Amino acid sequence: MADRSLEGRTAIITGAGRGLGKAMAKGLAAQGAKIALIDLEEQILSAAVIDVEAAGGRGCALPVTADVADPTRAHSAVNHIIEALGGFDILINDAAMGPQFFTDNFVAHTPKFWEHDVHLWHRVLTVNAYGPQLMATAAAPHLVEKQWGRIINVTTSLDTMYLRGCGAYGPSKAALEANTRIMAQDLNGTGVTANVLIPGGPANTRMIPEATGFDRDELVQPEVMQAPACWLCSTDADDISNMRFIAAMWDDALPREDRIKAAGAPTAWAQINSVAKRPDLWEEAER
Amino acid sequence: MADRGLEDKTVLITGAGRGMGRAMSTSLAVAGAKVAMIDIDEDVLRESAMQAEDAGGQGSVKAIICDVTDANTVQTAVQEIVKDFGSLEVLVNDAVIGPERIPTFMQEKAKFWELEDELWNSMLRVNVFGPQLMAKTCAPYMIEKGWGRIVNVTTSLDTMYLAGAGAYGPTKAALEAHTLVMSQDLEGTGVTANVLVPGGMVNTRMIPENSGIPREKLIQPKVMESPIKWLASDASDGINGMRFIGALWDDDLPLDQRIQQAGAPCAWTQLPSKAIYPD
Repeated sequence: MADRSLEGRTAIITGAGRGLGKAMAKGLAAQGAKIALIDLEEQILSAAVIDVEAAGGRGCALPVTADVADPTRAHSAVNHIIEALGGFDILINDAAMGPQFFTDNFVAHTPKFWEHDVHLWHRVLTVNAYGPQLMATAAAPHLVEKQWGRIINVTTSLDTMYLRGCGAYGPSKAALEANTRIMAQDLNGTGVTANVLIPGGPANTRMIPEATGFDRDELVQPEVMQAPACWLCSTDADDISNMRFIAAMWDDALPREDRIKAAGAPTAWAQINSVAKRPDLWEEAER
Repeated sequence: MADRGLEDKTVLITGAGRGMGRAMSTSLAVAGAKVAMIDIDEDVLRESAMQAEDAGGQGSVKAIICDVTDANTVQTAVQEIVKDFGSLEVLVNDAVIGPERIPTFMQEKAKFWELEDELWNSMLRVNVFGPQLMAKTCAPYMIEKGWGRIVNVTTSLDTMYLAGAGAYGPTKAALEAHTLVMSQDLEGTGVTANVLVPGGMVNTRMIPENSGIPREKLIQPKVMESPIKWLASDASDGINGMRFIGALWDDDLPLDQRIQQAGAPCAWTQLPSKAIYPD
């Protein structure tokens, strides 16, 4: 019998129709959580609901079709979920437009920044950076009121943020990484945490098209997200905020502290000792 | 007599109407460059352009009202600049929507969920998409010439996650990362892409008057002048994918020490965390 330690929790997962989002939905459902799956495409979503219910039991999955970068629809999706499921505890921002929108092979064919379509570039930036901000804005008041909650943002490896050929993908993830650090500061003391969870390298999803030539088995598998996502959503991670975790380095066999040390780091680039010069008058908040 | 070493350069500066954009425009004009000044605010741009032209000489300046996120307007503006000045060698992306647009900035820190959705999105569009659009439009002219500069103004690495400033920090993180993408794409073309930041809070409208901070304690916009003149010149050939801190730039030092003191790699390349790739 699987561990059902997330019984009673409800998670909203964006981009849950496939890839990492779907894997996390299945992982959380298997531990007893109810899942509201958000995606753009109804068909993909229907298929994902079947998989998630297979993992978590009938009725554990609610499909919600929405564009997370549309303010009206993002807010109404969250309100709809609150009504339908009586609230929620967890938001996982996984929806993203990946490098595959700019090149089918970011290894061998890297289009230059001046070759990208401007509308596509702007759309990817908006979906990947504004979308999570909108969802978190819609979600935070509910979580803060409950005094317990999780925001998990899926960004990318620090060096993928400036990977050439991928258009706005990397920069948009840099923005989300920085914004996670802001979210964690703003949520400090509320009982709600904000963390980053990344796979740790190219994952076996549609973001890495066949043309890249990678052996699919050697890519990071989406299922690596499940254990750290479940842990972050558990009460064992109540005191964990403002961190980034690399799923591929997550090892459940290790003791808690070693596990955190092996896979975790502060969000963003806080280790770099380069700070803004500010007049002494401005109180320095802990950041 | 001022050094007129930039006489063969045409520089396009966005956000040239005030603050650091204005300071850079004037100093580049003084150094002999032709300066195309772009801003969305007509009144401040006119005043700023007069100031730059007074300093640089008649015919040295061109002022264009332009929204840096509107592809058609940007295309027209850049074509006009190239037609009038004959070339375009340097792009300085300084235009930005700053945190001063958040009503409570520096009074009390607005939480991320209290911000206006539309303002957040506008910051993202102007601060990240704007520079990409400008760079995409200008780069082909520079590449064709085999010489050029893209200079993006971002912010201090820790300001990129400053709470209470809305999307400001995240947008600058995106632009910082994007500068490193640009620099890789431009390798071997004779065109470079670098970041220039002031190094802290600057005496511009971004720090509201009611902040209680004496203006003279802030970094002054003029710290951008020397490094931008150097970046726009042939003397910075080969410098690509770096970030420079205006406040640490010391003209009295020999160049290599100056670079060492004020320069660093762009973004966060120093951090050891890298993506794991299949062999």
